Amino acid sequence: MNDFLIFENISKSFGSLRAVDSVSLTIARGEVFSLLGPSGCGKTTLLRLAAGFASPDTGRIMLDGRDITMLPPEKRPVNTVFQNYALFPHLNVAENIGFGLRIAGRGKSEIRREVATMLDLVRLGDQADKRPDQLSGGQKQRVAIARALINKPQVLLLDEPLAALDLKLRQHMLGELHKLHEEVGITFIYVTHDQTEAMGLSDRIAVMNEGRMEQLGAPAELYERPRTRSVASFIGDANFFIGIVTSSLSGASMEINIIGLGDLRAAIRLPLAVGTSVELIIRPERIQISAASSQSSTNANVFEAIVENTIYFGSTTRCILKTNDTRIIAEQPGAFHKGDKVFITFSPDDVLVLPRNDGTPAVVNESQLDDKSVVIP
Amino acid sequence: MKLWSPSQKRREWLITLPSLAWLTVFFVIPTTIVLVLACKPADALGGVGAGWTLDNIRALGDAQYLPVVWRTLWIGAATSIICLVLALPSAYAIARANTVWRNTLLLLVIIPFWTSFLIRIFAWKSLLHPDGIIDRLLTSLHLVEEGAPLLYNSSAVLLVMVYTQLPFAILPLYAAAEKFDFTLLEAARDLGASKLRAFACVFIPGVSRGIGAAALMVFVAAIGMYVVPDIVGGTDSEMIGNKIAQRVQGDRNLPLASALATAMLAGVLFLLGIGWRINKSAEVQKS
Repeated sequence: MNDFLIFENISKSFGSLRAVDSVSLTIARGEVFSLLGPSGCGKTTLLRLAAGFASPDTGRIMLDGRDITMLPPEKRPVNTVFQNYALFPHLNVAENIGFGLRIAGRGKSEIRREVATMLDLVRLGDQADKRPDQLSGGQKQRVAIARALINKPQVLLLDEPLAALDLKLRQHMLGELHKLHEEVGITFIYVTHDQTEAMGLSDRIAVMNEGRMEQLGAPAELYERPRTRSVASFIGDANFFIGIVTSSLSGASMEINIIGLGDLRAAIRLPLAVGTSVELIIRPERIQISAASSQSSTNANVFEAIVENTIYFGSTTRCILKTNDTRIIAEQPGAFHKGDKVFITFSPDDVLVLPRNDGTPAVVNESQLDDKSVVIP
Repeated sequence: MKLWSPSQKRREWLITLPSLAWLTVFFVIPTTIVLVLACKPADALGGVGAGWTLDNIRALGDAQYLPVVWRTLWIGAATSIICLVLALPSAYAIARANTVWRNTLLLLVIIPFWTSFLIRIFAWKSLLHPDGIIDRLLTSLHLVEEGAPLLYNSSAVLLVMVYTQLPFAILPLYAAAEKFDFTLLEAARDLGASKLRAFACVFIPGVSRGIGAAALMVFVAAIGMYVVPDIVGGTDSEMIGNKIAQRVQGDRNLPLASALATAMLAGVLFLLGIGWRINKSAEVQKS
């Protein structure tokens, strides 16, 4: 992987708010890189710093070996797709797309040719004469992308490009963006608060929170091995428990006691001393639900539970289960009913163990589930 | 089409009545009097004679009016252009300022209205006077020759005219700039435009309606101006307004003054009509 776009120790404050706090990132040529996080996490600020609309308080930005920190936006080989599209209302579709070339002083016939190529690329050939306010959201989106790509940027910055579209269109445009990236092959930096967009599109994702980068990795890595609770809760759904390591069993697993649930086994990935307070993360779809206790593996964690509530999604059913005094969410295909007595089974490999940060209360209360994953009608 | 019930219709009339009465008394009737007078002969005692005549209209062809009409038009056009050039960056800056600054700046634009128009023009007269501070300053800096008057010429008229009309350009432009989406400027910069280029290619077309309104307001008010050329202008900077005043006060020839006023009214209406047509065609294109 080559180092193409480098953010070096970037900080940016607005008044007393540290929007971006000492972030260092290296993005490879041709990569789709996502900045993911809740609103106010600093992801858009980072994008604006890359575009040149703001300059960092500290640190520098390198593009292809060149320091671009102080370059004004018009001098950067970087183009942006804005969240609200920012199409010029006084220009039609073709003029909007050709704007960059017109500013660059290219000839009329060249502009016409390039615009036609771009219109084909985003499949808007028949809309060239329309004004932005005559277009649908998806069409505006495609004009914004074509307008940004016509300057042949080295990096395309996308600021929540699908946020204003409805779900069906969003999924469709996500596929289009994927195809587009394969065609143009340039680096994409994609800012979003939607984890499914980031997961579906990106080669790598940086999860941001309160101006800091929490974790950086491939989508599967972030999902399978979240390093913090906030990453785990932001990417996918998860059950969270707090427990204490009671014994290290011989071999690959240890035993952890969870108040209100009981003892369970977890695979050892970090050496943890007996007595360590830990946080456990279990993904809902890794929890099997069965009517009878199936002792397929002696090592598996098995609990008896009662189905408290179900949410039917079609391909799967989400069950809110109660075992002992603890609620667990599981998501499996099949039909389950409120009040069913079931067995839940999950492998020690699917139990993620994070040492707890000091300062968080060791008291375990009744609801350890992440707010987001608890959907009780 | 909306259908109104009779009671609604009556209420509409009642609401409109005061302003309608006001307009009738202070606009429709005086304008009609002017139009009628323009078609009456003048008598030797400064009154209005009997019968009807087109002599006054014909008298407008007199050679003395052509340079005055021409001067009125160019001073009006120059005032409009200078006001727009000054008002565009001002309106941009006010619209981009934070709330506290924005209110302060708007207040600064409006505060001069608290002082009488006449007093402000007399203030300019003492500023531009050979013993005034501007003349003395410019002379000491050798920017103007000693004895070259700043006052009583077309430049003085233009300067004071711009001063009086500037708020009427800034306010409509600010109203348009306030609604402007400033991310469009970022988009233009992003696509390679310099700051100035983005301003010219995106901001100016974005506030084109405001520009039209400001230009029309300033121009119409400027060509009808009488006080400014009368106070700071000289004999070679008279405008139509001064000619009308001379016909009334000097010659006591009300019919001829009315004819001049009617001609100017026709000119202004013609310009408004053009403005209206441009606006309308822009709207049709948009929809």
